[in-house]
Amino acid sequence: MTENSYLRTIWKRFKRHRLAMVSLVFLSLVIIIALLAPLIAPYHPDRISGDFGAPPGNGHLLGTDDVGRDVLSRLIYATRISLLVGVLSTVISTVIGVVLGLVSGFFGKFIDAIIMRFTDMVMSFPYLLLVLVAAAIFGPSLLNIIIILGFVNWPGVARLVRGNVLSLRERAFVQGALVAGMPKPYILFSEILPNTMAPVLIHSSSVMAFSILDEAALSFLGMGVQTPTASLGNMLGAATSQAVLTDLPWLWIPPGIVIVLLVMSVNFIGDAIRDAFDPTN
Amino acid sequence: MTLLRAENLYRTFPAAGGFARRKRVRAVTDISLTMYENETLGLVGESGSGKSTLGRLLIGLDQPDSGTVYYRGQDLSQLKGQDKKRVRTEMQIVFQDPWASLNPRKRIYDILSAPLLYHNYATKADVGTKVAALLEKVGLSPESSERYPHEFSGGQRQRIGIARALSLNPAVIVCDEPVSALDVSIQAQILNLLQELQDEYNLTLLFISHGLASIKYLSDRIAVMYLGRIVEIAGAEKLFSSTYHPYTRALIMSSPVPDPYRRQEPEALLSGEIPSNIDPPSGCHFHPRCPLAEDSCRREIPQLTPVPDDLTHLVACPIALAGGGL
Repeated sequence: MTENSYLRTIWKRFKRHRLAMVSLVFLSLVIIIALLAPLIAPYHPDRISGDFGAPPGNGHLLGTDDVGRDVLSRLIYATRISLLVGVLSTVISTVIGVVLGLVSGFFGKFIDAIIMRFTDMVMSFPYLLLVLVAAAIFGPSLLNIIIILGFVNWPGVARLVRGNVLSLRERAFVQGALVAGMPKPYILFSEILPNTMAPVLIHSSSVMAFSILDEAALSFLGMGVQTPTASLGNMLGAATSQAVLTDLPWLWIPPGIVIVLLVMSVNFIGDAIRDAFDPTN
Repeated sequence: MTLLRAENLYRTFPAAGGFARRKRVRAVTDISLTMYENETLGLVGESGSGKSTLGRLLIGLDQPDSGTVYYRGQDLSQLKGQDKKRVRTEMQIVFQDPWASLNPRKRIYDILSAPLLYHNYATKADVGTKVAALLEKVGLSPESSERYPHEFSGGQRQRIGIARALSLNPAVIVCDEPVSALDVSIQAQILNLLQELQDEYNLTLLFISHGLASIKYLSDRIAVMYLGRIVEIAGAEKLFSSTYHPYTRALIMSSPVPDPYRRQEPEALLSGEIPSNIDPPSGCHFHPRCPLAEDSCRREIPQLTPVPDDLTHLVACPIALAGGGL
């Protein structure tokens, strides 16, 4: 009832962001297309369906690539992969970050010191190098990429949650629960966690944007999703050849645009959520 | 009957900043105090005098560096298991800031019912009526249990805070400046409510305040704190009628009197700021601001000593004692 009215206020504030609303529509559209890819894509993404490197038109809306696969179909499937990587690795890193942050902030002292030094260590590592080395060791595959990205993106979340827990722990309502003799798990999960979810959600949106970009970067470097499976990154990777860059622009412009729009819309939505949750707004 | 007894409590906190040799804030220094059943003990002091810390120590919300708190003769720090759980619920607190004392994400019903259910004070079947009864007890309508904290005013939130403190049938409630964040018009209502509830439930109250005005009428006894120590403790009437400690005197003089023709005696007002409790002054902490200060005050830490005609009236100032009360 009133929880609904709270969400409704948030939604009302969210709607004030024009760009975020446009982004939301765009993102929803992309998600629907990605989900329904097998129905929507005109050709099989990995099969040769036309001439080599045919320009747009003639049954291939975005042309074909250098081995004759339909670019539009590949683009649709690539978006699917990118979203999958973005969502799943964000979920992994958010869960890891929230758990470590909660434990670190609530129990403090020795446990806190160990977790936070480990967090610093992960944070201070050259990020892309770590991911590249991990991909090289475990082998570049979709599942590995998701796990690797999930395991490097959590320190920000962990720090955010820890900071929140530290300040919430001293708040009167948490102290009140302590005085009422409530057990620690109750205080941690029922009093503290719900009050730290809004900032975590906001942070996660930027983690998701980064994950999509990282997948693209990894695949571009050949350490990510492997051909023939299409991903936005390895489609862009085609542009490393001079000939493709200059003569077949329909191979790399569409995935480039999709990446930019995806990342931008995720960020805009994140911004709007932050503003919507900010009660002073 | 003695309910709570504190013996030689010390509590320090690490001061902000500093790395190698971090200094410590001395919040509570060598405090011994007794609270009797069904009394209201007022605790007054400037901000930073350690009064909130003392309140938290007394109900076991914080642990002293050294010293012991006895609750009905039992050492709080030695309690285990079921005893600990039971004693924990017998000591409650009403917080100063009504905006921070309720979880913004929970309905009042959830806030009040969770401890009742956890401690088996209510069953799933009758918890609704118990919550409603609690709300009525503090002057709110039972329907308010469906609402969220942000839908209430400061005074109403403070009532909910009182309902929560009351829900577990406590013996002691620490009221940590419960009205200082409220409008003056609301303050009296909350004070009256606390007094009514005390009479009804035989509560023992520790009433913390930074001014004498609000606790004068509520307290049976009043303790005055300065920089982590108690400097004077006496029956509420006695404290005003025969004041000994120069700090207490200054506090009384500085409370505003609603009488335009009465002027405050300027010499009774304190000069200067409260010193830092990281490096408190030597000897009597009050000596740099004290009109009576002598050389000995710089060296010797005065102990609480009974005044000649009243053993319950203790003063930590040998000079005022020698000179007699006001």
